[in-house]
Amino acid sequence: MKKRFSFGGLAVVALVVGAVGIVTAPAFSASSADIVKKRQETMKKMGGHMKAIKAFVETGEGSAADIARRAAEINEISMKIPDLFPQGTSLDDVMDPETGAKPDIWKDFAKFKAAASNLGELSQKLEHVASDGAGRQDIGAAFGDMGKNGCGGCHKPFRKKLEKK
Amino acid sequence: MRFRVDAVITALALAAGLLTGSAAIAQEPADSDAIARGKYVFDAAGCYGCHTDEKSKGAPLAGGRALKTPFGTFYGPNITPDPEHGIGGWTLEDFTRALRQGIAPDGSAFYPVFPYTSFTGMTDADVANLWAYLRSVDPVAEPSKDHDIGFPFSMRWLNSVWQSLYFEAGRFDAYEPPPGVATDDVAAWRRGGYLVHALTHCGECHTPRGILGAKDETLSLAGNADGPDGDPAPNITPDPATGIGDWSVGDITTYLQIGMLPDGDFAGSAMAEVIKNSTGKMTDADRRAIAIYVHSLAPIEHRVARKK
Repeated sequence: MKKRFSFGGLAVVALVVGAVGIVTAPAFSASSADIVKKRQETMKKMGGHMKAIKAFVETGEGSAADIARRAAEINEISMKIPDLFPQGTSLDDVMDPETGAKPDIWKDFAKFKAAASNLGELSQKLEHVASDGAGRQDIGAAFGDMGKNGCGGCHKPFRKKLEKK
Repeated sequence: MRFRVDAVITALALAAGLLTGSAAIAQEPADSDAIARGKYVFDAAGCYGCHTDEKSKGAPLAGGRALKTPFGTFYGPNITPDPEHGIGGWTLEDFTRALRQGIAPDGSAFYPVFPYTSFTGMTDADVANLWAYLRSVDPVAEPSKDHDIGFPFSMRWLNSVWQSLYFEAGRFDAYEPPPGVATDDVAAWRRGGYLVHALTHCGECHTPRGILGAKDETLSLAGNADGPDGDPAPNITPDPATGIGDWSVGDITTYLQIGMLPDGDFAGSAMAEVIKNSTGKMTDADRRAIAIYVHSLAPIEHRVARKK
Protein backbone atom coordinates (compact mmCIF):
# COMPACT_ATOMS: atom_id res chain seq x y z
CA MET A 1 0.00 0.00 0.00
CA LYS A 2 2.66 2.37 1.02
CA LYS A 3 4.75 1.34 -1.96
CA ARG A 4 1.89 1.81 -4.41
CA PHE A 5 1.19 5.19 -3.00
CA SER A 6 4.69 6.42 -3.45
CA PHE A 7 4.81 4.96 -6.96
CA GLY A 8 1.63 6.82 -7.80
CA GLY A 9 3.06 9.95 -6.27
CA LEU A 10 6.17 9.64 -8.38
CA ALA A 11 4.06 9.14 -11.47
CA VAL A 12 2.09 12.25 -10.67
CA VAL A 13 5.27 14.23 -10.06
CA ALA A 14 6.70 12.94 -13.33
CA LEU A 15 3.52 13.88 -15.17
CA VAL A 16 3.47 17.34 -13.66
CA VAL A 17 7.16 17.91 -14.38
CA GLY A 18 6.65 16.66 -17.92
CA ALA A 19 3.67 18.89 -18.49
CA VAL A 20 5.44 21.89 -17.03
CA GLY A 21 8.42 21.07 -19.23
CA ILE A 22 6.25 21.01 -22.33
CA VAL A 23 4.59 24.25 -21.41
CA THR A 24 7.71 26.12 -20.30
CA ALA A 25 10.10 25.10 -23.06
CA PRO A 26 8.41 27.08 -25.84
CA ALA A 27 7.51 29.79 -23.36
CA PHE A 28 11.20 30.14 -22.48
CA SER A 29 12.37 30.54 -26.07
CA ALA A 30 9.58 33.02 -26.72
CA SER A 31 10.79 35.02 -23.78
CA SER A 32 14.40 35.13 -25.01
CA ALA A 33 13.08 36.46 -28.31
CA ASP A 34 11.11 39.00 -26.28
CA ILE A 35 14.25 40.03 -24.45
CA VAL A 36 16.08 40.50 -27.74
CA LYS A 37 13.17 42.60 -29.00
CA LYS A 38 13.15 44.64 -25.82
CA ARG A 39 16.87 45.32 -25.93
CA GLN A 40 16.74 46.24 -29.58
CA GLU A 41 13.99 48.74 -28.80
CA THR A 42 16.11 50.06 -25.94
CA MET A 43 19.17 50.40 -28.17
CA LYS A 44 17.08 52.16 -30.83
CA LYS A 45 15.90 54.58 -28.19
CA MET A 46 19.49 55.36 -27.28
CA GLY A 47 20.27 55.68 -30.99
CA GLY A 48 17.51 58.28 -31.25
CA HIS A 49 19.12 60.29 -28.46
CA MET A 50 22.52 59.97 -30.09
CA LYS A 51 21.12 61.23 -33.37
CA ALA A 52 19.57 64.24 -31.69
CA ILE A 53 22.75 65.07 -29.77
CA LYS A 54 24.80 64.82 -32.94
CA ALA A 55 22.41 67.21 -34.70
CA PHE A 56 22.87 69.69 -31.85
CA VAL A 57 26.66 69.40 -31.99
CA GLU A 58 26.69 69.80 -35.77
CA THR A 59 24.07 72.45 -36.35
CA GLY A 60 22.97 73.80 -32.97
CA GLU A 61 19.50 72.32 -33.43
CA GLY A 62 17.81 71.83 -30.02
CA SER A 63 19.21 73.05 -26.69
CA ALA A 64 21.86 72.18 -24.14
CA ALA A 65 19.09 71.46 -21.62
CA ASP A 66 17.63 68.92 -24.02
CA ILE A 67 21.05 67.29 -24.41
CA ALA A 68 21.36 67.04 -20.61
CA ARG A 69 17.98 65.32 -20.44
CA ARG A 70 18.92 62.87 -23.19
CA ALA A 71 22.29 62.13 -21.60
CA ALA A 72 20.53 61.41 -18.30
CA GLU A 73 18.25 58.98 -20.07
CA ILE A 74 21.20 57.24 -21.73
CA ASN A 75 22.74 57.02 -18.27
CA GLU A 76 19.61 55.37 -16.92
CA ILE A 77 19.51 52.91 -19.80
CA SER A 78 23.19 52.07 -19.36
CA MET A 79 22.42 50.72 -15.90
CA LYS A 80 19.81 48.35 -17.33
CA ILE A 81 22.10 46.96 -20.02
CA PRO A 82 23.46 43.96 -18.06
CA ASP A 83 19.91 42.79 -17.30
CA LEU A 84 19.00 43.00 -20.96
CA PHE A 85 21.63 40.39 -21.74
CA PRO A 86 20.69 37.21 -19.83
CA GLN A 87 22.38 33.92 -20.74
CA GLY A 88 20.85 32.23 -23.76
CA THR A 89 20.24 35.38 -25.80
CA SER A 90 23.34 35.41 -28.02
CA LEU A 91 23.37 35.35 -31.80
CA ASP A 92 23.80 31.58 -31.54
CA ASP A 93 20.67 31.20 -29.39
CA VAL A 94 18.11 33.52 -30.90
CA MET A 95 17.49 33.57 -34.63
CA ASP A 96 14.26 35.55 -34.75
CA PRO A 97 14.69 38.43 -34.34
CA GLU A 98 18.27 38.31 -35.54
CA THR A 99 20.69 39.57 -32.88
CA GLY A 100 24.30 40.70 -33.09
CA ALA A 101 25.12 39.81 -29.47
CA LYS A 102 28.36 37.83 -29.58
CA PRO A 103 28.77 34.85 -27.23
CA ASP A 104 31.91 36.65 -25.96
CA ILE A 105 29.58 38.68 -23.72
CA TRP A 106 29.06 35.70 -21.45
CA LYS A 107 32.62 34.45 -21.64
CA ASP A 108 33.62 37.48 -19.58
CA PHE A 109 30.46 39.03 -18.23
CA ALA A 110 32.39 41.18 -15.75
CA LYS A 111 34.12 42.87 -18.68
CA PHE A 112 30.78 43.37 -20.38
CA LYS A 113 29.33 44.94 -17.24
CA ALA A 114 32.37 47.19 -16.94
CA ALA A 115 31.85 48.36 -20.54
CA ALA A 116 28.22 49.19 -19.72
CA SER A 117 29.18 51.10 -16.58
CA ASN A 118 31.80 52.98 -18.62
CA LEU A 119 28.92 54.22 -20.77
CA GLY A 120 27.21 55.18 -17.52
CA GLU A 121 30.15 57.31 -16.43
CA LEU A 122 30.65 58.96 -19.79
CA SER A 123 26.96 59.75 -20.21
CA GLN A 124 26.97 61.34 -16.77
CA LYS A 125 29.92 63.49 -17.81
CA LEU A 126 28.02 64.59 -20.89
CA GLU A 127 24.99 65.37 -18.76
CA HIS A 128 27.10 67.55 -16.45
CA VAL A 129 28.81 69.37 -19.31
CA ALA A 130 25.46 70.07 -20.95
CA SER A 131 23.67 71.16 -17.78
CA ASP A 132 26.59 73.43 -16.85
CA GLY A 133 25.70 75.39 -19.96
CA ALA A 134 28.91 74.57 -21.84
CA GLY A 135 29.20 75.46 -25.53
CA ARG A 136 28.64 73.18 -28.47
CA GLN A 137 32.32 72.39 -28.77
CA ASP A 138 32.63 71.05 -25.22
CA ILE A 139 29.38 69.16 -25.54
CA GLY A 140 30.69 67.76 -28.81
CA ALA A 141 33.89 66.56 -27.12
CA ALA A 142 31.98 64.86 -24.28
CA PHE A 143 29.57 63.38 -26.81
CA GLY A 144 32.44 62.07 -28.94
CA ASP A 145 34.10 60.54 -25.90
CA MET A 146 30.88 58.86 -24.84
CA GLY A 147 30.14 57.58 -28.33
CA LYS A 148 33.59 56.30 -29.13
CA ASN A 149 34.44 54.78 -25.77
CA GLY A 150 31.00 54.19 -24.26
CA CYS A 151 28.96 52.88 -27.20
CA GLY A 152 31.97 51.84 -29.27
CA GLY A 153 33.74 50.33 -26.26
CA CYS A 154 30.99 47.75 -26.00
CA HIS A 155 30.16 47.28 -29.67
CA LYS A 156 33.76 46.69 -30.68
CA PRO A 157 34.30 43.49 -28.72
CA PHE A 158 30.72 42.32 -28.25
CA ARG A 159 28.58 43.17 -31.20
CA LYS A 160 28.46 41.71 -34.67
CA LYS A 161 27.07 44.07 -37.26
CA LEU A 162 23.88 42.81 -38.87
CA GLU A 163 22.95 43.57 -42.40
CA LYS A 164 20.37 46.20 -43.14
CA LYS A 165 17.05 44.63 -43.96
CA MET B 1 79.98 78.52 -51.35
CA ARG B 2 82.22 77.12 -48.70
CA PHE B 3 79.15 76.68 -46.52
CA ARG B 4 77.32 74.72 -49.21
CA VAL B 5 80.20 72.32 -49.75
CA ASP B 6 80.28 71.67 -46.03
CA ALA B 7 76.57 71.06 -46.04
CA VAL B 8 76.89 68.59 -48.90
CA ILE B 9 79.69 66.76 -47.14
CA THR B 10 77.66 66.59 -43.95
CA ALA B 11 74.66 65.31 -45.87
CA LEU B 12 76.76 62.68 -47.62
CA ALA B 13 78.28 61.57 -44.35
CA LEU B 14 74.84 61.30 -42.83
CA ALA B 15 73.54 59.35 -45.79
CA ALA B 16 76.52 57.01 -45.66
CA GLY B 17 75.89 56.50 -41.97
CA LEU B 18 72.28 55.63 -42.60
CA LEU B 19 73.18 53.20 -45.35
CA THR B 20 75.67 51.29 -43.24
CA GLY B 21 72.82 50.70 -40.79
CA SER B 22 75.28 49.97 -38.00
CA ALA B 23 73.73 49.27 -34.62
CA ALA B 24 75.08 52.47 -33.11
CA ILE B 25 73.50 54.58 -35.81
CA ALA B 26 70.28 52.58 -35.77
CA GLN B 27 69.88 53.38 -32.08
CA GLU B 28 70.48 57.06 -32.72
CA PRO B 29 67.16 58.80 -32.17
CA ALA B 30 65.83 60.31 -35.38
CA ASP B 31 64.67 63.89 -35.09
CA SER B 32 61.61 64.07 -32.91
CA ASP B 33 59.56 65.89 -35.54
CA ALA B 34 60.00 63.00 -37.94
CA ILE B 35 58.98 60.55 -35.23
CA ALA B 36 55.88 62.56 -34.37
CA ARG B 37 54.89 62.84 -38.00
CA GLY B 38 55.66 59.17 -38.41
CA LYS B 39 53.32 58.32 -35.54
CA TYR B 40 50.55 60.10 -37.40
CA VAL B 41 51.32 58.15 -40.58
CA PHE B 42 51.44 54.98 -38.49
CA ASP B 43 47.95 55.63 -37.08
CA ALA B 44 46.48 56.65 -40.43
CA ALA B 45 47.92 53.53 -42.05
CA GLY B 46 46.46 51.37 -39.28
CA CYS B 47 49.68 49.37 -38.78
CA TYR B 48 48.85 48.62 -35.16
CA GLY B 49 45.71 46.62 -35.92
CA CYS B 50 47.34 43.80 -37.87
CA HIS B 51 50.75 43.81 -36.23
CA THR B 52 49.56 43.56 -32.62
CA ASP B 53 47.83 40.64 -30.99
CA GLU B 54 45.62 42.77 -28.80
CA LYS B 55 43.22 39.95 -27.98
CA SER B 56 45.98 37.91 -26.34
CA LYS B 57 47.50 41.08 -24.81
CA GLY B 58 50.58 40.81 -27.01
CA ALA B 59 53.23 43.53 -26.95
CA PRO B 60 52.55 46.39 -29.40
CA LEU B 61 53.79 45.65 -32.93
CA ALA B 62 55.31 42.35 -31.88
CA GLY B 63 52.97 40.65 -34.32
CA GLY B 64 50.62 37.76 -34.04
CA ARG B 65 47.12 39.06 -34.76
CA ALA B 66 45.20 36.42 -36.74
CA LEU B 67 43.64 37.68 -39.94
CA LYS B 68 41.24 35.13 -41.36
CA THR B 69 40.85 35.31 -45.13
CA PRO B 70 39.42 32.95 -47.76
CA PHE B 71 43.03 31.87 -48.44
CA GLY B 72 43.87 30.95 -44.87
CA THR B 73 44.86 32.67 -41.66
CA PHE B 74 47.64 35.23 -41.77
CA TYR B 75 49.54 36.59 -38.79
CA GLY B 76 50.97 40.09 -38.95
CA PRO B 77 54.71 39.79 -38.27
CA ASN B 78 56.80 41.52 -35.60
CA ILE B 79 57.72 45.01 -36.89
CA THR B 80 59.51 46.26 -33.79
CA PRO B 81 63.23 47.12 -34.17
CA ASP B 82 64.33 43.79 -32.70
CA PRO B 83 67.26 42.72 -34.92
CA GLU B 84 66.43 39.03 -34.89
CA HIS B 85 62.63 38.80 -34.80
CA GLY B 86 61.61 42.25 -35.94
CA ILE B 87 62.87 44.63 -38.60
CA GLY B 88 65.86 45.93 -36.65
CA GLY B 89 68.22 44.78 -39.38
CA TRP B 90 66.38 46.62 -42.12
CA THR B 91 67.45 49.87 -43.77
CA LEU B 92 65.18 52.66 -44.96
CA GLU B 93 65.73 51.27 -48.45
CA ASP B 94 64.53 47.82 -47.39
CA PHE B 95 61.51 49.39 -45.75
CA THR B 96 60.71 51.51 -48.80
CA ARG B 97 60.96 48.49 -51.07
CA ALA B 98 58.62 46.51 -48.78
CA LEU B 99 55.97 49.24 -48.80
CA ARG B 100 56.31 50.29 -52.41
CA GLN B 101 57.06 47.03 -54.16
CA GLY B 102 55.95 44.34 -51.73
CA ILE B 103 59.41 42.78 -51.63
CA ALA B 104 61.21 41.67 -48.46
CA PRO B 105 64.93 42.30 -47.92
CA ASP B 106 65.66 38.67 -48.88
CA GLY B 107 64.05 39.30 -52.28
CA SER B 108 60.91 37.25 -51.65
CA ALA B 109 57.52 38.79 -52.37
CA PHE B 110 54.95 39.44 -49.63
CA TYR B 111 51.44 38.08 -49.67
CA PRO B 112 49.07 40.81 -50.79
CA VAL B 113 47.38 40.58 -47.39
CA PHE B 114 50.09 43.09 -46.49
CA PRO B 115 48.54 46.14 -48.18
CA TYR B 116 51.58 47.16 -50.22
CA THR B 117 49.30 47.37 -53.26
CA SER B 118 47.90 50.46 -51.48
CA PHE B 119 51.08 51.62 -49.71
CA THR B 120 52.86 51.76 -53.06
CA GLY B 121 51.11 55.12 -53.44
CA MET B 122 52.67 56.61 -50.29
CA THR B 123 54.76 59.77 -50.53
CA ASP B 124 58.51 59.69 -49.83
CA ALA B 125 57.98 61.87 -46.76
CA ASP B 126 55.33 59.58 -45.29
CA VAL B 127 57.50 56.50 -45.83
CA ALA B 128 60.56 58.15 -44.24
CA ASN B 129 58.62 59.48 -41.25
CA LEU B 130 56.90 56.16 -40.69
CA TRP B 131 60.33 54.54 -40.72
CA ALA B 132 61.61 57.06 -38.15
CA TYR B 133 58.67 56.24 -35.90
CA LEU B 134 59.05 52.47 -36.21
CA ARG B 135 62.74 52.79 -35.28
CA SER B 136 61.71 54.59 -32.11
CA VAL B 137 59.43 51.94 -30.60
CA ASP B 138 60.61 49.37 -28.08
CA PRO B 139 62.13 46.27 -29.66
CA VAL B 140 60.41 43.03 -28.66
CA ALA B 141 62.20 39.69 -29.03
CA GLU B 142 59.11 37.76 -30.04
CA PRO B 143 59.24 35.49 -33.10
CA SER B 144 56.61 36.11 -35.78
CA LYS B 145 54.03 33.39 -36.21
CA ASP B 146 53.92 31.38 -39.43
CA HIS B 147 50.88 31.94 -41.60
CA ASP B 148 48.37 29.11 -41.60
CA ILE B 149 47.52 28.69 -45.25
CA GLY B 150 46.87 25.66 -47.38
CA PHE B 151 48.40 24.51 -50.65
CA PRO B 152 48.86 26.01 -53.22
CA PHE B 153 48.89 29.46 -51.58
CA SER B 154 51.44 28.24 -49.05
CA MET B 155 54.03 28.38 -51.84
CA ARG B 156 55.50 31.78 -51.23
CA TRP B 157 57.25 32.05 -54.58
CA LEU B 158 53.83 32.26 -56.20
CA ASN B 159 53.62 35.78 -54.78
CA SER B 160 56.18 36.90 -57.35
CA VAL B 161 54.03 35.46 -60.11
CA TRP B 162 51.02 37.16 -58.54
CA GLN B 163 52.87 40.47 -58.55
CA SER B 164 53.70 40.19 -62.23
CA LEU B 165 50.04 39.52 -62.98
CA TYR B 166 48.28 41.96 -60.73
CA PHE B 167 50.60 44.55 -59.28
CA GLU B 168 51.94 47.78 -60.63
CA ALA B 169 54.03 49.89 -58.29
CA GLY B 170 53.53 53.63 -58.40
CA ARG B 171 52.82 56.78 -56.48
CA PHE B 172 49.21 57.87 -56.03
CA ASP B 173 48.15 60.21 -58.80
CA ALA B 174 45.96 63.10 -57.77
CA TYR B 175 43.69 63.39 -60.75
CA GLU B 176 40.90 65.90 -61.29
CA PRO B 177 37.86 65.83 -59.00
CA PRO B 178 34.40 65.18 -60.40
CA PRO B 179 32.19 68.23 -61.04
CA GLY B 180 30.25 68.02 -57.75
CA VAL B 181 33.30 68.93 -55.63
CA ALA B 182 33.40 72.60 -54.58
CA THR B 183 36.49 74.57 -55.65
CA ASP B 184 37.39 75.18 -52.00
CA ASP B 185 37.34 71.45 -51.36
CA VAL B 186 39.63 70.35 -54.20
CA ALA B 187 42.75 70.19 -52.02
CA ALA B 188 40.85 68.23 -49.38
CA TRP B 189 39.48 65.95 -52.09
CA ARG B 190 43.00 65.18 -53.31
CA ARG B 191 44.22 64.53 -49.78
CA GLY B 192 41.17 62.31 -49.26
CA GLY B 193 41.98 60.32 -52.38
CA TYR B 194 45.52 59.78 -51.16
CA LEU B 195 44.30 58.66 -47.75
CA VAL B 196 41.56 56.38 -49.08
CA HIS B 197 43.66 54.68 -51.74
CA ALA B 198 47.19 54.75 -50.34
CA LEU B 199 47.62 55.38 -46.63
CA THR B 200 44.39 54.31 -44.96
CA HIS B 201 43.91 51.59 -47.60
CA CYS B 202 40.10 51.42 -47.36
CA GLY B 203 39.91 49.28 -50.49
CA GLU B 204 41.81 46.43 -48.88
CA CYS B 205 38.59 45.50 -47.06
CA HIS B 206 35.87 47.36 -48.98
CA THR B 207 36.83 46.28 -52.51
CA PRO B 208 35.96 42.70 -53.47
CA ARG B 209 38.74 40.37 -54.61
CA GLY B 210 38.99 37.92 -57.47
CA ILE B 211 39.80 34.22 -57.08
CA LEU B 212 43.52 34.93 -56.67
CA GLY B 213 42.98 37.71 -54.20
CA ALA B 214 43.52 40.70 -56.47
CA LYS B 215 41.19 43.63 -55.84
CA ASP B 216 38.51 44.01 -58.50
CA GLU B 217 38.99 47.70 -59.29
CA THR B 218 35.81 47.83 -61.37
CA LEU B 219 34.05 47.45 -58.02
CA SER B 220 36.39 49.75 -56.13
CA LEU B 221 35.01 50.39 -52.59
CA ALA B 222 31.68 48.81 -53.58
CA GLY B 223 31.76 46.26 -50.77
CA ASN B 224 33.27 42.87 -50.14
CA ALA B 225 31.36 39.84 -48.85
CA ASP B 226 34.64 38.29 -47.62
CA GLY B 227 35.80 41.01 -45.30
CA PRO B 228 38.06 40.44 -42.30
CA ASP B 229 37.05 37.53 -40.07
CA GLY B 230 34.36 36.51 -42.56
CA ASP B 231 32.28 39.63 -41.95
CA PRO B 232 31.13 41.57 -45.00
CA ALA B 233 32.71 44.99 -45.55
CA PRO B 234 29.91 47.21 -46.84
CA ASN B 235 29.63 49.17 -50.06
CA ILE B 236 30.91 52.68 -49.27
CA THR B 237 30.18 54.27 -52.64
CA PRO B 238 27.24 56.70 -52.56
CA ASP B 239 24.76 54.32 -54.17
CA PRO B 240 21.37 55.06 -52.56
CA ALA B 241 20.16 51.45 -52.48
CA THR B 242 23.28 49.41 -51.74
CA GLY B 243 25.84 51.97 -50.55
CA ILE B 244 25.93 55.05 -48.36
CA GLY B 245 24.03 57.38 -50.68
CA ASP B 246 21.99 58.80 -47.81
CA TRP B 247 25.07 59.79 -45.75
CA SER B 248 26.24 63.39 -45.71
CA VAL B 249 29.88 64.46 -45.57
CA GLY B 250 29.22 65.25 -41.87
CA ASP B 251 27.79 61.76 -41.30
CA ILE B 252 30.91 60.14 -42.73
CA THR B 253 33.18 62.43 -40.71
CA THR B 254 31.38 61.64 -37.44
CA TYR B 255 31.44 57.96 -38.26
CA LEU B 256 35.20 57.99 -38.81
CA GLN B 257 35.69 59.96 -35.61
CA ILE B 258 33.51 58.13 -33.10
CA GLY B 259 31.87 55.25 -34.97
CA MET B 260 28.31 56.53 -34.97
CA LEU B 261 26.10 55.72 -37.95
CA PRO B 262 23.53 58.25 -39.17
CA ASP B 263 20.71 56.37 -37.40
CA GLY B 264 22.48 56.60 -34.02
CA ASP B 265 23.78 53.03 -34.13
CA PHE B 266 27.46 52.31 -33.47
CA ALA B 267 30.02 50.36 -35.41
CA GLY B 268 31.21 47.04 -34.03
CA SER B 269 33.89 44.48 -34.89
CA ALA B 270 36.54 45.28 -37.50
CA MET B 271 35.50 48.83 -38.35
CA ALA B 272 35.27 49.74 -34.66
CA GLU B 273 38.90 48.65 -34.45
CA VAL B 274 39.81 50.85 -37.42
CA ILE B 275 38.03 53.82 -35.82
CA LYS B 276 39.75 53.28 -32.49
CA ASN B 277 43.25 52.72 -33.85
CA SER B 278 43.23 54.77 -36.99
CA THR B 279 40.55 57.18 -38.21
CA GLY B 280 39.61 58.26 -34.68
CA LYS B 281 43.18 59.50 -34.20
CA MET B 282 43.33 61.50 -37.42
CA THR B 283 42.87 65.26 -37.62
CA ASP B 284 39.39 66.63 -38.30
CA ALA B 285 40.72 67.94 -41.60
CA ASP B 286 41.86 64.47 -42.71
CA ARG B 287 38.59 62.83 -41.70
CA ARG B 288 36.72 65.49 -43.63
CA ALA B 289 39.05 64.93 -46.60
CA ILE B 290 38.20 61.23 -46.63
CA ALA B 291 34.50 62.06 -46.35
CA ILE B 292 34.64 64.55 -49.22
CA TYR B 293 36.43 62.05 -51.39
CA VAL B 294 34.20 59.07 -50.60
CA HIS B 295 31.11 61.23 -50.99
CA SER B 296 32.26 62.26 -54.49
CA LEU B 297 32.75 58.72 -55.79
CA ALA B 298 30.63 57.44 -58.64
CA PRO B 299 27.89 55.31 -57.05
CA ILE B 300 28.20 51.61 -57.78
CA GLU B 301 25.18 49.38 -57.30
CA HIS B 302 26.54 46.30 -55.60
CA ARG B 303 24.78 44.48 -52.81
CA VAL B 304 27.02 42.70 -50.34
CA ALA B 305 25.51 39.75 -48.53
CA ARG B 306 26.85 37.83 -45.61
CA LYS B 307 28.00 34.34 -46.52
CA LYS B 308 26.16 31.84 -44.33
